[in-house]
Amino acid sequence: MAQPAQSPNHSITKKRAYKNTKSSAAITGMGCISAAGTDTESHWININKGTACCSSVPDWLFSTKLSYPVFAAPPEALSPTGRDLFESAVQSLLFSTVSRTVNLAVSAVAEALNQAEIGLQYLREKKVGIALGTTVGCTFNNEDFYEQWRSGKKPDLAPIFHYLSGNLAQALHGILGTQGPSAVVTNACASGTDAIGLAKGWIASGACDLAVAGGADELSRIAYNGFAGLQLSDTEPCRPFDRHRKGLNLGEGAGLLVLEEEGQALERGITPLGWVRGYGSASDAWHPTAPHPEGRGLKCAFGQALADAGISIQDVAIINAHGTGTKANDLAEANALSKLLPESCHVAIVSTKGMTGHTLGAAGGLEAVLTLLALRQGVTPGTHGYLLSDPQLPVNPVPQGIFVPLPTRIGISQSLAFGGGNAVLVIEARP
Amino acid sequence: MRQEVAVTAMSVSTNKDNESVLASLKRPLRRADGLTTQAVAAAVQAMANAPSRELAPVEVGIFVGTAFGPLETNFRFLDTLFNDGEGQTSPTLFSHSVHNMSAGYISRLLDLRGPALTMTTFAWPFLSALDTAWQFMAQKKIRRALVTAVEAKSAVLEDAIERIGASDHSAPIEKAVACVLDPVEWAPTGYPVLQDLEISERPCAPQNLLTRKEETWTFQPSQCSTGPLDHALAIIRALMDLRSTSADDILTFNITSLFGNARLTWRIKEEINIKSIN
Repeated sequence: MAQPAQSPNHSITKKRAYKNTKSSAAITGMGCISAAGTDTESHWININKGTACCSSVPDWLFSTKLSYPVFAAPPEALSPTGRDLFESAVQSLLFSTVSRTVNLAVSAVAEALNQAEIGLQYLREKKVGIALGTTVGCTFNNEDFYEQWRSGKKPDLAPIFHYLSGNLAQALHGILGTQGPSAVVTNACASGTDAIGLAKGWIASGACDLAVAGGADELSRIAYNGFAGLQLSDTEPCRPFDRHRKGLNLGEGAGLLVLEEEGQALERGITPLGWVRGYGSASDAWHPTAPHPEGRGLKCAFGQALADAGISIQDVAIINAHGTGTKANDLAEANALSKLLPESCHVAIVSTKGMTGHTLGAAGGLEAVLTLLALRQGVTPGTHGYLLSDPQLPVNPVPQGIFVPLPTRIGISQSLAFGGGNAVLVIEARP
Repeated sequence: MRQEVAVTAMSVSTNKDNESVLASLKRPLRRADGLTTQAVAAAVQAMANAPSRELAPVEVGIFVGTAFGPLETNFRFLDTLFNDGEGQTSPTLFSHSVHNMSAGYISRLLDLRGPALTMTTFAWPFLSALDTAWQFMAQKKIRRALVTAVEAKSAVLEDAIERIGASDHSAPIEKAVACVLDPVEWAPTGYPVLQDLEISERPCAPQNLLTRKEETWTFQPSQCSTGPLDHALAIIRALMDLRSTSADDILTFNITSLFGNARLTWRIKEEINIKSIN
């Protein structure tokens, strides 16, 4: 008989302070939008309440005969803050002419820049790096165009031009009017995590004065059908790590960080929210779509990230797992974590996908933001949808409805991807 | 200034060039599309040409640059969606329509377990991958980088190019280039050493990213750019030519276009460095 998920032992109450290392990137702003909220504050409230917005595909998004629920962001992808930024930044471009993915990213970047107290004028005087992850956002998704084209018609080329204008980093540079390094990482579901790791390197090497990094992605009928075809989607709200989990639900959104060299932030009079302290990335070299069953690449990336941060696993209070709710992902991830975590180590393992869905290229960015939010509050809510423990999983994540105090201010956000990619970030909140 | 890195092996892949490589990989590539096949062939050749080093699989990173990625595979997936209906789509086509599938194949077939990043930009995807690889090398995250750029042939893009009146240009051809980056001490004399790389993109009319109108480079001015892989082909071919010379000058490659500029600075490794290894 299935056992109710047990709250792991989190009785340790150690508090440590860490000195910022030269290779760390200070986080001075964060922003996000998804089905769980339109900004960081609403995300935190809804995640704590467990108010998940998982529903059948809204008509305004696309029509489908399939019955897999999704986590759709608000119909208006541009938040009021995002609209303000858009309208003050560009005079000639209408937000209705850019992709939903770009608008989601603008919403998150507007919130992050506000929090970092960075205005457009300051931004345009600086060398700004933009590193973003995406999947759907870099794909040609206009079904009408292609359907007409393949039937021998000559459809208007506007969708092609729209696609060519949609490089996420270049689009943001164009909207913000900024100049500096630009990267779109298309590492499937690990894209956002790798993008933040890349930007951390930019800050450390002085390649830019500040960086906007994370991920953004929109829901599309193509990806929706693709995951259905792979039989990786659940017809019910997803249940990461749960005994009865049957797959993932797709979601959409954006999660972005503003990264700076700490001295620069302090000169501006800004106290960092925290730091991206470590980054690791490694490959399974195993299978086109399935993770290595023992999480080979994840273990390696995890070790790299800890080494990069100069910490040990004992210093980590929370692991925001990839936790998609698929059988294979959650098992591989749990197997890897069971080898990485000594028995004496009581780390809170959670997945936030029960609240946001799997936002693909945005997931790494969104989950980095949610990890920092939990670290700043010193507590994490459990995994929405995780109610019954799976005896096959050798670790015990925090179940739904349980709140665990975090004994340190260091956490890990990790992502696994199609193609065998694994990426891990070490994030620390300022005490 | 980043620590210099050397290009120790290069390859250009077309179907014709790689029959023997592809024959040996027939089974593991049986489900792969043309994009991935070319990327793997170029990567395998480059790694075969690279100096023998004792490296753990995790010490080698893969960096793939692409503008359009598996665009045609995405269309083939859409064909199954239109023809067969929802719930009947091809899982193989969908998984291969993801941009990083080429990197995943390279990682698996060469057993390279370091970072594998795919960089997507319409401007200069090879330079984006090269720059990222160099950063990972400079930060000691890896000890060798395999950099690949690949594009697939697309009938949809060909048609679009023709319709916007750029008939003297052509859509991407199915080709790939690859090069191996090693620390300078591993490069034989006469090999190119990367000293500096600057990329500066700027907004432009989107059709310019398709036609590559006015994109030129100083190192092979007679060539006309026809797609986002051409800069990579031109750079690799220029570097191959440089290897046969004994010049030790600083070599600067400038690329200019309506969508920005890029500059690469190389030097040729001198004999003194090879002596220091011995």
